[in-house]
Amino acid sequence: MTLSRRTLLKSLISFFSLTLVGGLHVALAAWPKIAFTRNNYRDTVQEITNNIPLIESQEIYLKAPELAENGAVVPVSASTTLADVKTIALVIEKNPIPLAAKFNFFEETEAFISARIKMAESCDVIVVVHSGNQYFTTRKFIKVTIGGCGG
Amino acid sequence: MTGTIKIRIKQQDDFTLIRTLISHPMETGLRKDKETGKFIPAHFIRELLISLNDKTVASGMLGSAISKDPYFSIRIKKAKPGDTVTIHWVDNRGESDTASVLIK
Repeated sequence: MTLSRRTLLKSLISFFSLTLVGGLHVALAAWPKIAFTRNNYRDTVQEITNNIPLIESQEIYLKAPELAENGAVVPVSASTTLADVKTIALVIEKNPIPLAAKFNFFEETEAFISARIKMAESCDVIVVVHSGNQYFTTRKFIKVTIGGCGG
Repeated sequence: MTGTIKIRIKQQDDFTLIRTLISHPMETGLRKDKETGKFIPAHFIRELLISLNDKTVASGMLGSAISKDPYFSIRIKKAKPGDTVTIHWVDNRGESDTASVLIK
């Protein structure tokens, strides 16, 4: 009895993983490879914004420590009161690959993201918000005592 | 992969907080193995999907600058008891995992 239930479970699991693999190709295609291979933050930001000039905004709130003892784990959260937010990107100025993450928000989701990032050295963390047809930004300097990318 | 995702739901007055913790090495590919001197191959989650009742509410395109064992939290419009939150990730090797939690 137990055995057959196990078998059923197994076949169910493989069925679901197959379905997921089907959807996976679509998902992977969406990963913006170019933005994630840019090695300086200006190019990264240009790639994200499609060269549309950034607007400094007081309506983006970046919560992060002033001093991070361990660059391997720096908690940051970004939120905004701007309307019609499509994406929020986190860019770390002096990381080897500055783009840490880009989040897409769909309806019914607040423009808020909290994550833990790695920082190679003390530098600015830059938030880029795509709101309406414009791109807004704010930044904060974080001092790192031990870098998070070394061996 | 299975069992890599932990999901915590917290109902607030005007939104639902979804927190997740994923077990993943998040290797950058830039780190050297101290003993062999060779680079440790990159291995990191590239895509994260958060859905409510099979409808995507947020997705994340991630790079290797996300810390090891990633933690994320997002806020969605207040969910109802009986709603299901699903989190799915795919990494650069094509490995993936999915987990769901029912809101009480």
